[in-house]
Amino acid sequence: MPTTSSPKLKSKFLRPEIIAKISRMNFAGRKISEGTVAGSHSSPFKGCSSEFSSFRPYVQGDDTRHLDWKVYARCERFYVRQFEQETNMRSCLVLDRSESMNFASGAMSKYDYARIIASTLAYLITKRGDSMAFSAVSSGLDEYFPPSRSAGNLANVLNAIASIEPSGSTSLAPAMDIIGAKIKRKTLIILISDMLTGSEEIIRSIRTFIKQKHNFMVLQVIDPAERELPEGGKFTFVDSETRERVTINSRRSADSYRRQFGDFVSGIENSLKNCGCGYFRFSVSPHPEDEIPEGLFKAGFSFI
Amino acid sequence: MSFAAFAFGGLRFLRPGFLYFLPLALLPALIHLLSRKKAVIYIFPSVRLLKKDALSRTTDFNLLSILLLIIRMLALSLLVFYFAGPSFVFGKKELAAGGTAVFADYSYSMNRVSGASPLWEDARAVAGELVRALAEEKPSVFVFNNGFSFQGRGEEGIKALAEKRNPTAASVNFTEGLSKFLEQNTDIKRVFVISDFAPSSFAGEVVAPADAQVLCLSLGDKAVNYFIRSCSIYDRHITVFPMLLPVGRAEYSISAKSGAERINAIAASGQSAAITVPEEYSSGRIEIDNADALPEDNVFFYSRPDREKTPLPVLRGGGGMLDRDGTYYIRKIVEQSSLFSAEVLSEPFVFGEKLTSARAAVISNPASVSSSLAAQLRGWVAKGGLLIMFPGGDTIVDDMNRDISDLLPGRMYPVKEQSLAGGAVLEIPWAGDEFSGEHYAKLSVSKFFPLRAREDALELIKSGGETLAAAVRFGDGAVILFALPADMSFSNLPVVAGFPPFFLKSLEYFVYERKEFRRNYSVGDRVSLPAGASLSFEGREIEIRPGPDAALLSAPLEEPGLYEVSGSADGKIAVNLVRGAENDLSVMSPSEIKRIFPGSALFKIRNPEAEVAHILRGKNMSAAALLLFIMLLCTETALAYKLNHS
Repeated sequence: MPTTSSPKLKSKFLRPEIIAKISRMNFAGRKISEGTVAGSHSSPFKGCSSEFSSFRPYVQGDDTRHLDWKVYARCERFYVRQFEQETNMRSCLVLDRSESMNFASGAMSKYDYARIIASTLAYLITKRGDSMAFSAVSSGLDEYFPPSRSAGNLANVLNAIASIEPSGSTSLAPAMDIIGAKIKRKTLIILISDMLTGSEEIIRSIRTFIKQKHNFMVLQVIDPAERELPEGGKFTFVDSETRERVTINSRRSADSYRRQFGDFVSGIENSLKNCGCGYFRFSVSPHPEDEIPEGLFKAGFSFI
Repeated sequence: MSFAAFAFGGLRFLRPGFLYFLPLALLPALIHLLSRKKAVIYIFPSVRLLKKDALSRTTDFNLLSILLLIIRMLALSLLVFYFAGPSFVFGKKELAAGGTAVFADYSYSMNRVSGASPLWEDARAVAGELVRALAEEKPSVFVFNNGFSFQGRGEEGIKALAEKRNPTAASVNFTEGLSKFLEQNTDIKRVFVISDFAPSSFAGEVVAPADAQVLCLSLGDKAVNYFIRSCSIYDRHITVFPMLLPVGRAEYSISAKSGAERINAIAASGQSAAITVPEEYSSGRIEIDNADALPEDNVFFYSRPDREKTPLPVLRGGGGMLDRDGTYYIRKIVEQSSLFSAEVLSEPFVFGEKLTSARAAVISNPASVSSSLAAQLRGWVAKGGLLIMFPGGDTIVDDMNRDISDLLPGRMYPVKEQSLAGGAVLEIPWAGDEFSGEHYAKLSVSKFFPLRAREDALELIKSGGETLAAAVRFGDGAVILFALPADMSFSNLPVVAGFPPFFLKSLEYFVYERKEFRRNYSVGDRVSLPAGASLSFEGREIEIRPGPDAALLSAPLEEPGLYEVSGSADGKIAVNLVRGAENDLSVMSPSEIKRIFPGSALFKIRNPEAEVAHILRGKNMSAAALLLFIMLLCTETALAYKLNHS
C-alpha cells in the first residue's frame, strides 16, 4: 500500500501529520455492508471475497478450487469463479467545488479545508482496501472517478482534489442524482460541502439515497466568519456565486444574523439526522491537523 | 428692506436679511452626504441569510436617518426664522383702502425720561418707524397739545418732528378734535396715536368711522413727579407751593437764585414753604433741589416790578375788640405785599377823601357805609377802582342789603360760622336753622349778580364747594364781595392759606396788571407791552405786533425763563411753564384708554423698532419659532440616540 511518502501521493492536501494522528486513534467506522463488521476482519475466503462477482474461462494456473462444477456440468467447460475482494466500505467522496467554498477569513479557505478532509478520507479509505469513487460537483458533476481500490486511483483522486479549483454555483441535487445513477451497490456517500445553497434539495436527494439503502454522511464545512458578521459598520456583501449585493450595517444585523445562521445549521443537522444521515460540522481552523482527526473521529469514521 | 417688500402672504419678517442664512438648513444634508462612509465590499459565500434580515434593517435605517435629517433641517430653518423675526397677519380685519395719519403727543409731560430717553424722543422714533414701514403710503404726521398741527407727509413729517424743540405746552382735550378730524377726513382709515396717555390730554370718547382703525401706542410707565406748582411773590419772601406725587409728606429743599448766585436755601416739608428773597433781587428763579422732576419743573422764574407802594385805604366798621376787627388781618396781609400799603381808617369821611387817589379800597363792614359814601363808591368803582368788601360780624341781612343795595343789585346773605364742640356748624341769622349745603348754594354768583355774565366773575371756593367770594366788573372797576367777615369771629378766613394770595393777587390784577404789563406769564401766553417797548430772550428778539388799546402784543412765548423788556419800558418778565395737570405724570390704565378709544388696538411700546414692526406685521411668531426649534432639538436628540443605539 502506498504511503503518504510515495511519490505518486504527493499532495499538499494530504497531510502526513493528520494521517499519523488518525492512525494512532482507534476508530470505529460506520457499518456499510450487510452483516459484516466494517473493516474489523479479513475475509474467510483467503484472498477472496465471499461475494461472487463473475465467471471466466479457466486458464492454466488458476486455482482449481475456484472451478465452478455446476457450470461444467451444464456446458462441460471449465470456468472459474471470480469474487469481489472483500471491502467493508464502498465509498464515494463528493466534494463541493462551488464558488462559495472558496471563502476564506483566514489563511485557509473552506475549499482547502475540504480538500484536506477529502484527501485524508481518500487515503484512509484506499489504505483500508476499500473502493473509493470521487466526484467533484458544483452546479453539475464536474469530475468523476469510478470506484476503485487501486493506488493509481488514489493518486488520480488526490491529483484531482489538488487541481480542481472552486468555481460555479451550487446546485448539488442534480449532481447527486447523476452520482446516484452511477452507484450500483450500497455505498457510503460522503458529501463535503458548506450546504449553504439548495440545502432542501440536497436533503431530498439524500433521503432518496438512504431509501436505496445507501449510507450518507454530510461533512459540512463552514468558516467561523460565516457565523459572525464582520465588525465595523456598513458592508456591502457580495454573494460569491450569484454576485448579488446586500448592504447592511453589521452592527445592527449581527445578532440577528448570528441567530439565523445558528438556526440554519441546526436545521440542516436536524433534518439530516432525522432522515438517517450522518452529519458533522467542521469549522475551518488554522490547525487542521488537530481538528480534522478529531472531527473524523467524532463523525464516526473507522479506518482500522 | 421694508417689510412690505418681503412677505409671503400672511407671513412677514422683521429682519428679512437673516433669511439669506436659510440655505444653512441644507448643512445637515451636505454633512450627511460628505461624511457618508462607503460600504466595504465583502465577498460572502451566500447572502441568503443576510437578505432575510438586511432589507428591513436597511429600510429602517434609511427611514430613521431621513427623518433625522428632515428634523435637523427644519430645526435650522426655524432658528433662522426666529432671528428673522417672523410675524403672521391672520384673522385681522381687512382695512378699507385709505390713508394713514400719525399723531404724536407734543405736550409737556412727554419730556419725562422713561428708560434711556425722554418720551418725546421715543415718540419721534415710533413715528419714524411707522413712516418708514409705510413709506409707500406716506402717512400724514401731526403733533398735538393745545390742538394738533400738521407736520408733513412721510419723511417730510419726520424731518419736521426732528427739528422741533422739546415740548413745553400743556395739552388740552384731544379727543374731540380727533373725532372731528376723522369725520372730516374720510380718506384716513388708519390712525396711530403716540402718547403717554396722561389723563389731562384725553376726555370723552373718540368717535371713529366704522371702517377706520385707531391704534394707540402707549409710551412710558407711571412715574413720580415732583415740581413747583406755583409761587406767590411778596415783598421779602416767595411762597413756594410744591406738588408731590404721590400725595404725602416729603422733605425737599428749595433755593432762590439770581443768575449764578444762590441767594438763599431752605429745607422744607409739607404743602408750602416760604423762602426769603431780599427786595433788591427783583427777578430770579426758585428751584427745588430734589431730583425726580422734569427738568424745567425744578425752576420757577419770578419777577417783582420796582414800584412804590400804592396806598390801600381800609375802612374799619363797627368797633370792639381786636379779634373782631377784620382790618387787623387785612393790614397784616397787605404788609407782606411790595405793591400796597394799608391805611386803616375809622372815619368814613376820611375814607371817602382817600378814595380820590386810591386805586383800591377795602370795606371791612358795610354798616359804616353811608348813602353818600355809597354813591361815591359807585362812581369810583365805575372809573376803575377795585372795592373789596367784607360783611361785619354783626351785620344783619337787611342792613347789609339796604346799605349796599344801590351798589349791588340782589340780596346778600352773610353767614356766620360758629365752632361747637364736635364740629363746625354754620348759623344763618335769618333762617335760625343750622346751615346746609342747600342754603350755601344760595351764595352763588348768579344769585348775587343775576344781571352779570358769569365769565366776569371770580370765585374763591372754600373746601366743600361753597362760595366764599364773588366778584363782578362794574364799569371800569370791580367789586369783590366776601361772604365771611375778615375777622376770626365766624371763620378762620383770614388765616386760610389761600386767602392772602387771592386777596393780594386780586389787588395786583385789578390795580396793576390791567393797567400795565404783567411781570409773570406762562409759556404760550402773549405779552402785552406798552407802545415803544420791545421784548427779547437770550439775545433773540421776540416778534411783536400791534394789539388792542394801542398796546403791543408779542408772539406766543415758547420757552420758560426771564425775558428782557426794553424801550419805553424796562425790567424782566418771568415766563414759567404751565403748572398743574401736565406735570402730573400719571397715565391712564389700558381700560381707561379703551374707554376713550373704543374699538381701538392698544400697544405698549418699549422698543420702537421691533414693536412697531410687529404691530404692522401682525402676530409675532418669534416665540413660536423658538419653541418649535427647541421641541425639534429634543426630538432630534432622542432620535439620534435611538439610531445610534438600536
